[in-house]
Amino acid sequence: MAGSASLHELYDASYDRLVLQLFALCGELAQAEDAVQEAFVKAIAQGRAFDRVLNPEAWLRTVAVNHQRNTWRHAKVVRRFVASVPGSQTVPELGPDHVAVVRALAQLDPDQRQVIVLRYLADLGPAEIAHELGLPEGTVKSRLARGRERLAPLLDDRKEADHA
Amino acid sequence: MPDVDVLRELSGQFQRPRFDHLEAVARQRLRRTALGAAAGVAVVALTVGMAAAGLSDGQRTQEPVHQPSPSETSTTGDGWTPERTRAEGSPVPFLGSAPSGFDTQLYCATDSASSSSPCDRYHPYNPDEDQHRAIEVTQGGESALFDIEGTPWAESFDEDSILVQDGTDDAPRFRLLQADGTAVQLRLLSEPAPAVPGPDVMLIQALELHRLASIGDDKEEPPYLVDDDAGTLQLLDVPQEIEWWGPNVDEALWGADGCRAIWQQPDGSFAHHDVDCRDGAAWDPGWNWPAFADWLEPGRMALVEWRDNGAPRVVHASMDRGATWERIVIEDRDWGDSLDVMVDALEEALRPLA
Repeated sequence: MAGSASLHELYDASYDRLVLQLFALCGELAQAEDAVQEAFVKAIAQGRAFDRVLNPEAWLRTVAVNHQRNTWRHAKVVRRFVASVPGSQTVPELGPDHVAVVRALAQLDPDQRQVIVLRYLADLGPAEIAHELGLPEGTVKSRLARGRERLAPLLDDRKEADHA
Repeated sequence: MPDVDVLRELSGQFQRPRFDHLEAVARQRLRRTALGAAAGVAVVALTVGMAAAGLSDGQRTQEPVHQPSPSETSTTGDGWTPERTRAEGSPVPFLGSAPSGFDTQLYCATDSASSSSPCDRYHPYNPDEDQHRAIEVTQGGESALFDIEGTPWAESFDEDSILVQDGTDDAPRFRLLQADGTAVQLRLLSEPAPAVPGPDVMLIQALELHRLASIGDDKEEPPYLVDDDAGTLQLLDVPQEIEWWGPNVDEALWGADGCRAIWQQPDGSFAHHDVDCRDGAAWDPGWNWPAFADWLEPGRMALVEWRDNGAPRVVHASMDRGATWERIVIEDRDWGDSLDVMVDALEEALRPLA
């Protein structure tokens, strides 16, 4: 069983970061929290094997993203019938800017959205993104470029709406 | 790209569960895995649970408690009764759909100043902690309270009773509860029951999943045969590879494993068909969608292929026990923020097959 001080420290240090990234990817906060918590449970269950993971945060992110992809439908359906547990979740104050950015991201192709999130919220460079996703660096760069190109007018529209 | 950066403002506002809670969940999962490697996860774990409950073969517990009072109902040894839990606790929503046809309410209370809510769905149940839960079952003017251990799963069983699973992974408990106070404790038999659909066959969610309110990589809800007269519960002898079960196990046994639909034939054997599946597409039967509720009947099956954004893309449906399959493409559209558009789209796709 893992649960070492290092994993606990990683939990403290990276939980918010990972939830934020998953939230940007999937657009649902509760789903993002579920996925990240699931990833940490799996990391703990890895025991000492997790100590050999070269980039623990990338491992957790990958597990969380996969979990989110695999469970999207059922999480949505479950929540349709499940009221939130009183007092169990702290809901951050989502302002109009936050909602608008998440909605803009949601309009991107999923592949583009993923590299945009990794670049601008996980602060990874193109080479690191390429390594994490198993893609050629050129593919990452082109997805970044197309994602930025697609995102810019969506965010501009928001600004114009804000100023109107 | 400062516009995306604005999301960083949210950092620090998330309330994460305590790390030791996640550790406890991991430990419980590992324990289940170890049990499963020995002799099958569910059978062994549940048998151990029933043995712990001290029941013998065929034993049935009847607790007619029409007007439960503190002296009549169970306590936890520290003065907590279901009545006290209801009086001092707060209502907790069911994890999953509440049993239909009943007015059921969960209550949760604590007598400690824990830093984490005892009703936190990620708080693994620990009988040593000061958390107390109770369920109130109301029907036809009658109402009864029952003690609950941990996070329960509940589903309607028949017109008079609901099946409630609670306890821990090591000691799960299954009971049929009625609004008149009757509690029938069920014992899990180690022998599987023949794979025959019927009114007493129901899907029961794995304890771990409903405790976490999380759908993970595990099989979701295997079908069980519930014999309320004998007070027993048995897993059905069905193909293990079925990941998602159709909802109408009372009428037909069918499900899916990835792109493969699997169903029971009239002779009792199981057949399969690999539908035209897009690589990497997510799959499951459409059973959990209201759109399929009226459409499903014996011999009919449906699988849904989903888009990357979570919207339905293709419905694969058979109306002749798997002999032929229809592939119905759902046009992309503005899916909005609710499920209503998806439900409408699925209903629209099925309409020609009605």
